[in-house]
Amino acid sequence: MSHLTEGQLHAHLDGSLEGLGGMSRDEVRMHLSVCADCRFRLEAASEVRERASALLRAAAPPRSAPPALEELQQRAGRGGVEDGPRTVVERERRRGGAARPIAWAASLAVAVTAGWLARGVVGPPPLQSEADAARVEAEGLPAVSAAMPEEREELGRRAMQGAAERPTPLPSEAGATPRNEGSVLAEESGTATERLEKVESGSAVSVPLAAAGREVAAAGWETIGRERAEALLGGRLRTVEGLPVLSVRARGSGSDVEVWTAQQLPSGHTLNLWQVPVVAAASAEPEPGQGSAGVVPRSAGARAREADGPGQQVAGYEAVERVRSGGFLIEARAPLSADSLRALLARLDE
Amino acid sequence: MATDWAAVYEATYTDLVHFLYRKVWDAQRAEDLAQDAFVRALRHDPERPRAWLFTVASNLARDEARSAVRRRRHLRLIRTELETAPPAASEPADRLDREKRAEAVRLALEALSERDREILLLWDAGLSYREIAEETGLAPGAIGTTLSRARGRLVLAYEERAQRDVASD
Repeated sequence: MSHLTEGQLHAHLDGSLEGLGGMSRDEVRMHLSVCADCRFRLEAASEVRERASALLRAAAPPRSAPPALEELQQRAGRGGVEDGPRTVVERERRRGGAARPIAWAASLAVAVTAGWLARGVVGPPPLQSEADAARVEAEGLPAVSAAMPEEREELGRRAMQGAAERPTPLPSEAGATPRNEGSVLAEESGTATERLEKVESGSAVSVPLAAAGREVAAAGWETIGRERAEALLGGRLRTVEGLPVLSVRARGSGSDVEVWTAQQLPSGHTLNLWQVPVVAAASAEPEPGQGSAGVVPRSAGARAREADGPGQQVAGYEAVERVRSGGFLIEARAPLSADSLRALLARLDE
Repeated sequence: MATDWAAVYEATYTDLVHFLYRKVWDAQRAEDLAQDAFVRALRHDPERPRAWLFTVASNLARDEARSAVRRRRHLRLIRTELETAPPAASEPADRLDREKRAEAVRLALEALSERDREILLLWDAGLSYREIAEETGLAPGAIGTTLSRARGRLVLAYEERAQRDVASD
């Protein structure tokens, strides 16, 4: 009598013998009842099976709530998502591939930004961004190539014009994200400076938008390369390791130089970093222990935005974090939790 | 017959995310890919949606894995994620153990052949032998053999790594 194979033993343990064209469950049971060797092997197989399952459970992702099916159905019904820009894999593939995919990836980033501007809320969850993207696309903003920042700037201007022409959305229209008192103050204030000074609470703070669409429209920023940025700064340009750099821009010179770097987060959102020499940032230097997320500083990006004038500013939610390193003050802003932003900044390259 | 997508979604989404996570090792991207797979399925309305979803998800993950740059970043991301994720256990030592264990499992899984890993993950995601056979092109009768080999190698690779870690401590 031949013994059961390992495959039969595992199929037996998995309850999957039937319909596979081999031995039936009853035949295997009968064999096991008379074969001590196979019973011993079955025990060993069972241990391996349980051990493997336990190991896989140890490698489970963090729990998160799935999006509503209706949102996916909306995406499915909207068209174009099949080749769409939702995932990093798509964006990644497209970045190195044909022009159309590149345009898709860029259009997502721009559409999300324009969506923020239109809604008045920064940092929506991805599916809300999708809805925003759909609305922006419906309003006729064209897709642009990630390799063509000039076009993107123009698009940012157009998006801002569109935002300016639209009435300020009521809270109920602005999305699901609740607004705190700071955001209301920010919207009621007359200038960027006033807004920045008044807004300071919570781990996710409401600040004048520092997202890409706002910034690409800012005057005086020159798109440069890393080498040029480091020459201007007189030191290393600090970026977060592993995140693609979308753009590096600078303005000013000497101790008043400011370099603004945009990096793409895995979620598709943008991490904005402003780097200035400490001398230039001294007036806005935080007290020890200050400058963590929740307190909006007046330096680096803040000064940059003030210098731009109020423009069409929109209040929204994003974390702000400042770090000092190697003679530079670096301000980071991103639509993330404060903890996540801090974790990212821990990865600033040396 | 019309597909009950609500039921499919409820029964499959989490399994799909877990399946993808063990391929791309980035929770956010695993969710993005799972959602993309569902969007495609909703548009195509396949006859066997569950198996179809895993096929598409597997292809998406395969595309993802082709980027060596991404792969390097995954290592950093999973570390960050483990650092920032709220610990399930209250004791720091437990959390460290959990992180170490997850990293060791990831390495052990990567030590498997692509086919063995695929079949193991599909089974763990809840697919039947027949569905796995359709997904992978293997004969249904070969799934048990492949699974037994994959499980054994996973456990062995994990234990070997654990022993090396103990020896180096």
